[in-house]
Amino acid sequence: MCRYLLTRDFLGFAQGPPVNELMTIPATYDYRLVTLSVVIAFIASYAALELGGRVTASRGGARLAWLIGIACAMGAGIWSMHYFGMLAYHLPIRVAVASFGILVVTLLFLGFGILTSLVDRRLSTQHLILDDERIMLRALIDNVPDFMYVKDTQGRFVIANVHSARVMGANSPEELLGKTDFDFYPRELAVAFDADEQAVIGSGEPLFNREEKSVDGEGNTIYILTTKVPLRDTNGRVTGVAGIGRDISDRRKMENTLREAERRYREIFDEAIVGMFQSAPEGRLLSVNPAMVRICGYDSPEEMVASITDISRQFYVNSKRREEAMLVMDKLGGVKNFEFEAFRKDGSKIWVTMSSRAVRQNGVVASYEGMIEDITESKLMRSQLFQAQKLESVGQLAAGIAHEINTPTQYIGDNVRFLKDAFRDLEKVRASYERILAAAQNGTLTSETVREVTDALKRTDAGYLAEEIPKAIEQTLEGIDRVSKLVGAMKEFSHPDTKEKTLLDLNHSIQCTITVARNEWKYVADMETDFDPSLPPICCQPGEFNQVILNLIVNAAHAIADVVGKGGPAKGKIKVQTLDCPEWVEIRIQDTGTGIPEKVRARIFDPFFTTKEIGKGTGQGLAIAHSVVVDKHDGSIHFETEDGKGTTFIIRLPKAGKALAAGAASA
Amino acid sequence: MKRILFVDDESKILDGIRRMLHADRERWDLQFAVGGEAALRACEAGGFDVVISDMRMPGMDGATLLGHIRDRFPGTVRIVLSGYSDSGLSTRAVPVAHRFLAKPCNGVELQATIERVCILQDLLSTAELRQVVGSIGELPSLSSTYTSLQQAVRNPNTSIPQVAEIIERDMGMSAKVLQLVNSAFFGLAQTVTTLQSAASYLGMETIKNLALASETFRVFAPDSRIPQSFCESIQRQAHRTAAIAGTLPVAKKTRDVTVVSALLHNIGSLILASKMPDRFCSTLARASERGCEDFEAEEELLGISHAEIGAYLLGLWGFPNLAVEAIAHHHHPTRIPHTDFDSSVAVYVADLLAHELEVHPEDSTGSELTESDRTCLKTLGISGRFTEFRHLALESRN
Repeated sequence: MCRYLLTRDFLGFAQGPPVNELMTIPATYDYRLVTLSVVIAFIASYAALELGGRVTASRGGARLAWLIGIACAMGAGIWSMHYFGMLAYHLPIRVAVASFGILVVTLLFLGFGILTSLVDRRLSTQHLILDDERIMLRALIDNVPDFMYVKDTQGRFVIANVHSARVMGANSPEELLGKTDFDFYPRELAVAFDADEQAVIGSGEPLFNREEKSVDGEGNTIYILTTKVPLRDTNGRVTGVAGIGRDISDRRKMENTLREAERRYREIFDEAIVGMFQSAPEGRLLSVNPAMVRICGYDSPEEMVASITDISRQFYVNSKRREEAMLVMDKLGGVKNFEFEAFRKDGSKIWVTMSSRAVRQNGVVASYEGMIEDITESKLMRSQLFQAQKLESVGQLAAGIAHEINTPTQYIGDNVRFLKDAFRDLEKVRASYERILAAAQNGTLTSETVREVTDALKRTDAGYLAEEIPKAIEQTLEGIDRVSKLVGAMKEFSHPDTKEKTLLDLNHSIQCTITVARNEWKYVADMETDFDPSLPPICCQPGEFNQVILNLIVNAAHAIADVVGKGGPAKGKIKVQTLDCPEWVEIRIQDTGTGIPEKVRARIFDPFFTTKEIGKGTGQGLAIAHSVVVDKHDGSIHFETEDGKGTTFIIRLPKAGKALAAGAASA
Repeated sequence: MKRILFVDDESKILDGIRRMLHADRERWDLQFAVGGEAALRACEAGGFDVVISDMRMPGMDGATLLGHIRDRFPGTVRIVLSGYSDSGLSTRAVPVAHRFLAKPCNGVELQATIERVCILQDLLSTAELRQVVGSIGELPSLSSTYTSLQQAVRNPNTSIPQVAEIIERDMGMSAKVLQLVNSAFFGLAQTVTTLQSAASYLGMETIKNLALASETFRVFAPDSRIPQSFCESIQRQAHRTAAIAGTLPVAKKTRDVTVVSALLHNIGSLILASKMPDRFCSTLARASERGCEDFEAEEELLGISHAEIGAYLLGLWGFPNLAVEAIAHHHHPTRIPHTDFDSSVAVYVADLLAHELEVHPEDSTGSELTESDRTCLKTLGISGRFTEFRHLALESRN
C-alpha cells in the first residue's frame, strides 16, 4: 500500500492531458463518505483540542511526547478527512484506493486520540477533584488546632499548618517551609525531634503516640502527643515524614493530678494501720489491704482473697455474728465497733472490732467495705479489768458489809452486858429473898430485913428489868440471826468462781445479792421485791450473774442518791421483780432515780463510759453486765428510762435450750 | 445531871445502849433519837451536854447533824459513834466532832468516854477559869496562814501538796514545822526535807497540829518583867517532854496526838506570863516560897493551873479534843478514868520524867518522885513500869 501512496499512479497529476482536452466527466458524491469525512474531521479536531490541553498541562519530556502524539493524531485526522473527502468524489474512471488500509490506520490514530481523550478526561476530572480536595484539605489542616506537617528526609518542612506556624513562633506556614526544627526549638529539643524523625525515615516504621516535651513560642513547657509516619514514593522509598501532634499539656496535668490523687488514696489503703477490706454478700473477699493481711496472718492480699471464699465460715468463728452484722448494715447502712471472734490463717482466734458499710447499687447491696482492728490484747486487758472491777466491787461491798455486821454486833454486845448487869442485880435480889426466906423459916424475920430487901429491889428497878430482859434477849437473837443471814448471803454471792454454768435459782440468788448490798441502798431507798414463784432454774454462771445484779442494784442506789436529799423525798424506791415468760425469764430492776438523759442513752453500755465523777466508778458495770448477759448467756439487756422519774433495767435470759434472737428487744 | 442524847438510825442499837447504860441513869439523863431530824428536834426541845451520833444515816447524816448542833448549841460536846469508815465522811466529821468511837464499841469504853468529856467540859467552864480567861482579855489571833491551813485540812478534797503549799507561804512556820517533824519525837526513820513528804508521813491532821504548835509559841511573847530565859526554858521543857512522850508505849494511832500534846502541855505558863504577868510573878514567888510545884501555887492563887488555861485556849483554837484533855489533866491524870495507856497518861509521865531528868540528868533511881506522884502512878497502875520508862527516856536523850 505504501508503494501505491507514493507512486505516480496515485499522485496522478504529474502527466495529465492538456487542458483543452479536458472534458467534463459526470461525477457523483458518495454522501456516506462525505459524512464520514466530516465526522473524522470533528473527531480529529476534538482529539487535537483535548490533547492540546494535555500538552499545556505537562512538562518536559511528557510534553514533547504529547505534542508528537497530538500532531500525529491531528495530522492523521486531517489526512484521513481529506482522503475520505476525496473518496467521496466519485468519477466514472476507476481509481484504485487502498481504502481499507487507510481506514484502519485512520481508525487507529483516531482510536488513540479518543482513548487518550477519554483517559485524559478522567485524569483531568480527577485533577480537578484533586484540586478541590487539596483546597479542602488545606482548609482542614489550617483550622485544626493540632500540629500537622510534612518534612523531607533532611528534616525540612515541606508542608506546615497554621497552628504549627503559630506555636513555633512564625507568622505563616510558608515561613516554615525549607526550615528545620533547629531553626525554632532549643537545641536539645530539636535534637530529640530530629532523632525521632530520622529513626522513622531510617527504619520506615511509623512512630505512634509518643509523648514529647516541647516549648511553645513563649517558652512555656508543653507536652505534645506526636505521631510520625514515613512518606514513600511510588518505589517505596521514604521521601519524608508526615507528622501530627496534639497539645496534651492540660490532659497531662489532669492525668498527673488524678494519678497523684489515686496514689494518695491508694496509699491510704495500702499503708493504713487498720485492716481494710471489701467483701461480697455471698462470702467472697473482693480486696484487702496489707494491714488486713497482717492481722489475719496471710502472706499476701492475693493469697487471702483467693483463700477465703466463705467469710461466714472461714473468717467468723461464730457465723451468726456475720448475719447479725449484715442485718444491721442492711437496716442502718453501716455498723460500728462490731466485735467478733475471727480465725487467722493458722486457725488461731483473735478478737476484732469492725466498722463497715453496705455499698448499694440500684438499691441492692452489692458489696460491703470496712475496717477491722485487732483488739485481742485490749479484750484481754478488759477481761482483766473485769476481774479487777469484781474485786473492786467486792472491796466496796466489804466496807458496807463490815458496817452491816458491826451494827448488830454493837447491840448484841450492849444487850449482853445489860443482861450481865441485870443478872447480877437480880442475883442480889434473889440472895436477899433467900435471906428473908431463911429468916422467915428461922423465925428471925425483922422489918429491918424486909426494908433492906425492899430498898434493894427498888435500887435494882426490877420492874424495868422484867420488861427489858426479854426484849434484850430477843433483840440479841435477832441480831445474831441478822449476822448469820448476811454471812450466808455473802457465801452465796461470792460463789466459788467456776467457769461452768449451773442451774441457778434466780430468785434466791437475787435475794442474796440484795442482802449483801444492803448497805449500798438502805440509806437512800426502800427495797421492794416481787419474785415470781414459778420461775424455773436457769442455766448460767452464778458468779457473773450475781455480779450483774449487784452492778444494777448499786447503780440504782447511786441514781436515787443523786435525787434524794436535794429537796426531794427522803428515800427513793428500788423494785426488783422476776417474771416467768414463755420464752425467757425476765428480771426487772426499777429505781426512782434521776433517769438516764437522752444524750447518753446510746452509750451507757460502752466500756469505760461513766457519768460519775472521778473516783466514783470506772464505767465498767453496765459494760460487764451487757457482756455477761448478751455474749455469755445469749440473753438481752435493755432499759426504759424517763428523765427525772427513774429507770428500769430489763434482763431477759433464755430458758434452757433456747437462745434469744440477736435483734430482739433492743432499745 | 448531865443530859446525853444518843442518835442512830437503828432503833435496836439505841435500845441496846439504853439497857447497857441503865445503871448510870442516876448520873446521866439519857435520851434517844432515831435519825438526824428527830435529834435536832430533841435538841431544840431541851439542850444537851453531850450528843453521841452515828455517821451514816438516811436523810441527814451524822456530820451534817453535828454541824448543825455545833452552830446552834456550841457548848454541846459532840461524839461520833460509827461503824463506817468512808474516808470522805470521816474527814467531814473531824471538824465537828470532839471524839470518835468505832462500832462495835464496848460499854466500858463508851462509859469512860462520856465521863471524860463531861469532866473536861466541867473543868473548862469553871468560874475560876472563866475569870482568868476574862482577865486575859483578848487572845492573840493566829496567822492567816494557819487559818487557811485549818480550812484546807477540813475540806475532804484537799490534797497533801496543797497543804504543803499553804504552810510554805510562811517561812517561819514551815521551818518550825519541819524542825518539829524531824525531831526525835516522831521517830521518823529519815530526815524529812519537804513539807509535802512530812505531810505524807504524818498526815495532814498532825501537820496542822504542829503548825498550831509553832504558831502558839510565836504569838506569846512574855512581858518584859519576865526574863527571856523563862521562855526558852518553857520551850526546852516542851521539846524534852515531847521527845520522851514519843518513846512511851502509847497506842499507834494516838502517838502523834500524844507528841503534840506533850509539845504544848505547858503553853498555859507562857500565856499567863504574857497576859497576866503580875499574877504570874506572884505564883512563881509563892511556889519558890513554899517549895511546891508552880501548878500547885497557881491552883492556890488562881483556882486553876496553867494546865487548864492552856487546854482551854487550845480547845478554842481547834486543837484535837484528846490533846486538850491530855493537857488539861497532865498534873492530875487520875481525874479521869483510863482504860489503857492513853495520851493523857503519857503526857503526865513524860512531864514527870522531863522534870526529873532536868534536875538529875544522870540519875536513874527515881528518887525525886513526890508522894502524890507515887499515889498517882499506883492508881494508874503503872508504878512498876516507871523505871522502864525512865530508861527509855534516858536512852532517847543520848
